[in-house]
Amino acid sequence: MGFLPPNVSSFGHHIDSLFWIITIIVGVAFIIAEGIFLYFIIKYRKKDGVKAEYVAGNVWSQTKWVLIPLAIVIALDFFVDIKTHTAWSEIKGGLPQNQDLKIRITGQQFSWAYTLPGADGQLDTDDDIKKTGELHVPADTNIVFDLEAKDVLHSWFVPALRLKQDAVPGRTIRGWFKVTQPGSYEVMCAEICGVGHTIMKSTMIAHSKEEFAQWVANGGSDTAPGAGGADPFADMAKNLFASGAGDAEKGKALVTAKACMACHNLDGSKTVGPTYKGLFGSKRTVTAGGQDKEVVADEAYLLRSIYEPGAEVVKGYPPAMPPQKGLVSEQEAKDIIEYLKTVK
Amino acid sequence: MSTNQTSHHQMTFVQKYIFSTDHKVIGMQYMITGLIMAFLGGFLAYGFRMQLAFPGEAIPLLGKMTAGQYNEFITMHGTIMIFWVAMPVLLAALGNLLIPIMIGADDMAFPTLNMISYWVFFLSTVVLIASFFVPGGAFAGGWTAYPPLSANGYTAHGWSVGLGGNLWIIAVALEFVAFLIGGINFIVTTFNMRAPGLTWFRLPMMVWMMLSAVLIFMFAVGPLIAGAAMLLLDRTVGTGFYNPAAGGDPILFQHMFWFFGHPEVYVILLPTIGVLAEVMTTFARKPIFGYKMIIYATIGAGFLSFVVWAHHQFIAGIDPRMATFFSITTIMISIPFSLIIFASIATLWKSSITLSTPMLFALGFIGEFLIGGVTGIYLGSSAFDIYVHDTYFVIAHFHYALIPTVFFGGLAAIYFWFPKFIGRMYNETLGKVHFWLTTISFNLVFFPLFFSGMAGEHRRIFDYSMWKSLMTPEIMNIRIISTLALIVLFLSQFIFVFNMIKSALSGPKAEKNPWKSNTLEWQADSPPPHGNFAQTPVVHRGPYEYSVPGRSEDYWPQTSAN
Ligand code: HEC
Ligand SMILES: [Cu+2]
Repeated sequence: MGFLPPNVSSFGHHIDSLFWIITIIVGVAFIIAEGIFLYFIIKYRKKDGVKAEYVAGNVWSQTKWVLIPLAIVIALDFFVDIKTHTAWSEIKGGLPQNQDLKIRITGQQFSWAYTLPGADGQLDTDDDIKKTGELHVPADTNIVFDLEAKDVLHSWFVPALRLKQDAVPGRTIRGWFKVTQPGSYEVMCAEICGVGHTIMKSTMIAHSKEEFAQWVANGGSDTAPGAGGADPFADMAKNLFASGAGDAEKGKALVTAKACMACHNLDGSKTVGPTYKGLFGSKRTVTAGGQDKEVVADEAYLLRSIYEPGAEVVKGYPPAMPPQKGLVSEQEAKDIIEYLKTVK
Repeated sequence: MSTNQTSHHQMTFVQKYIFSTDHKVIGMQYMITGLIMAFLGGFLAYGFRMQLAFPGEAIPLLGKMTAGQYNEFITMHGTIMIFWVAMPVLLAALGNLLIPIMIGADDMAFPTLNMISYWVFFLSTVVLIASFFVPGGAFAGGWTAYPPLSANGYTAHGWSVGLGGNLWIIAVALEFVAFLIGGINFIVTTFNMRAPGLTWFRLPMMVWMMLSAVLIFMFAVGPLIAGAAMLLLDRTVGTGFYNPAAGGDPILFQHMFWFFGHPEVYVILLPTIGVLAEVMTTFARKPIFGYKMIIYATIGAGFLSFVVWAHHQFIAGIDPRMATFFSITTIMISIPFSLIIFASIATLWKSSITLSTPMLFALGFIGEFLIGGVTGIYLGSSAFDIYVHDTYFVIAHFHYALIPTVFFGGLAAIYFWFPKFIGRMYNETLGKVHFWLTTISFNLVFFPLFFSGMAGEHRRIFDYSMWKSLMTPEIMNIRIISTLALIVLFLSQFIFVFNMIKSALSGPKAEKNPWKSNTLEWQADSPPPHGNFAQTPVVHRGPYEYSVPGRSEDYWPQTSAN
């Protein structure tokens, strides 16, 4: 069926074949039932002088016409149950013997945060790699995850993996998956978690094993540390604002349309993220690479906050903001910044 | 049980139509309140479907929608349709209208209690509607109200401890009080006030089904009321029943909710099966196929319905070893209902069918409910449910179960008993136009959603623009078709309203027994007076003796001596 997205997990084929098994069984049963039903309606329309036959359906010679089909339906149902049990056991029933990588997934309003072991291969050590909004994993590897939730229920859903699991505050739910194909896949939140439920999106990027090893060696970056040089956002700001100011009116509409207001507000109070009130030009204390520093919220800073919020995290807030790369265009970012300048 | 007719002459308008103790007036009050709420629930659906089909555009009559409002709309849509439409129309209205008169009684056992039941329900409706207008807006945490989100005081427009959510809980609790009072009445009346000769196995299916539905409701509702009370305490006085930081557990609420929530499906479904039996036998001129078999199946389903609830929670974090047990019970509960549907189809065999409007809706129920039934098998399979849980596949499935049940079943009943309780005939042509428009548009709204659900479209999302895989032209077309069809479905219902009002005012007068039916209500006047029968009827046979060989008439009223 064209609507099922391509499967990229080692167990997804069970789900897809269940789909076909059930579709064939219930499809045939359904067509027969509807067929007989419609046939009766057409055939036994009232005709003058023809009386209905008195059939009460209370002796076996009559009830068998209902009970035998029913028995067949039951038998087929149990066949579905057996297939279900096999699939369920593999996906949710336990963990595979070889557990090559252990990660932690944390649901929070309104983003997914991922913790991966650094070069030492251990979670909860200094070199852990923490990312919000992006999960990097190696392909062809049994990955065991601990799923947690900080605030309310969330549900970690990756359609391409055919995997979904609720995240429950106060519980750690363990599960596993294996990606069979490198690529980039959408991760959703399938349980309503508040006003920002819509934007609770992240991306799973499956690398080949070698690429992933390199990524870990780089401390969670596609390029080796120190390769970049000058601040790319300073350049971006210069280029963007060289052509004049943005459109604050458009920016105002955009912060609502892009659901920024799910986490930010204008009235100076603290919500999920910092308020926009008086933000532009103020001094911010941010944590970058484990170190606190003071910066001025200029255009470059705001661009970085939007595109790489994890790079400099405002002190006192969790790294909960999803990176807006691919979601907010540069022109839109310019308009948003123009608007932020007006929020005093 | 005879009534004192003279005392009724001095009743004021208020006594007769507002604070009435007559079961028929109370039934009508429930019916009209429920139908008005259905329009409100439908209008909310119009709002959020427009947002999905045309994201970010101003919606006619509503303007631009925000994410908070969207959550508010979907939450209140679900709440209203289940608790303020399905329950009052199918259970309270039909039960009140039909139980006493079908068993040959003059009224309910406790008429005053019955009146209180309606007014408590009315109060609950007022509280619910008021919640739209409090600061922060109505409750927006989903109609299932899962904590911690619901315990946190989340509402549509902000994070303040929302009054809207508290009112929501209070409204639901009041409503359950109303139905508990009403339910007691149903049970006592059925047990004690049956006319002479009306033994258990001569009862019309409608009465059997009502009784079963009410018993299931009463057994199931306790945990939910407790769960809701704890939720209210968590929200208002800061207890931590559902707060893990305080030693509570959010999943506890899910168990309490679905322990009620699943049986609730049958509380709604059974009355419709009752309607189906009455309408089909009348318009097919045949006994119901396997009367006793159906009753035993219903009783079995009633018991089973208490051990299937966790199929709503396969991926909620319950012990994975429980899944297979609940998968099996879930598939088992499909057995009695398959039996009932098969028996209904068998009833048509060698019958003599008249496709009047009530019959069309009853047959429509069977045809459409089958789709809801078979798609339930996909969801009952715990492994397949991993993928489709909380997607549009589920939405499509339960609307195929609920809309046939509530609307097709409810409308079949309304058209069927309209001549009896209003005393005039409705317009058959308008009825048929209403049926066909409803059926076609209903399928266009929901069938496409199976496909978007298969594509992974997850629920309760306000704007899919940021989801590349869910913004393909195919899926976008599905959203638009579904939304446009919804508008047609919604507008078609005004044909029904017009027909009802016009016919009630100026339709041709109905005789006592226009459909030549057997059950007792057709022996009373149309409309029946306060007290229903001039004399207590005496019952001689079962309700479905149609086309009995050797008789010249093809029906045989329960009251005829021969
Ligand atoms: C899921 C919640 C969330 C959403 C949605 C969100 N943000 Fe944020 N945002 C945060 C959090 C938390 C912080 C503070 C931590 C940090 O700096 O990463 C933040 C920080 C910021 C900052 C820096 C603020 C400061 O005080 O220095 C800017 C600018 C910003 N966000 C802009 C946006 C824009 C524009 C959008 C919409 C396109 C948006 N945010 C959407 C949560 C969110
Ligand atoms: Cu979420």
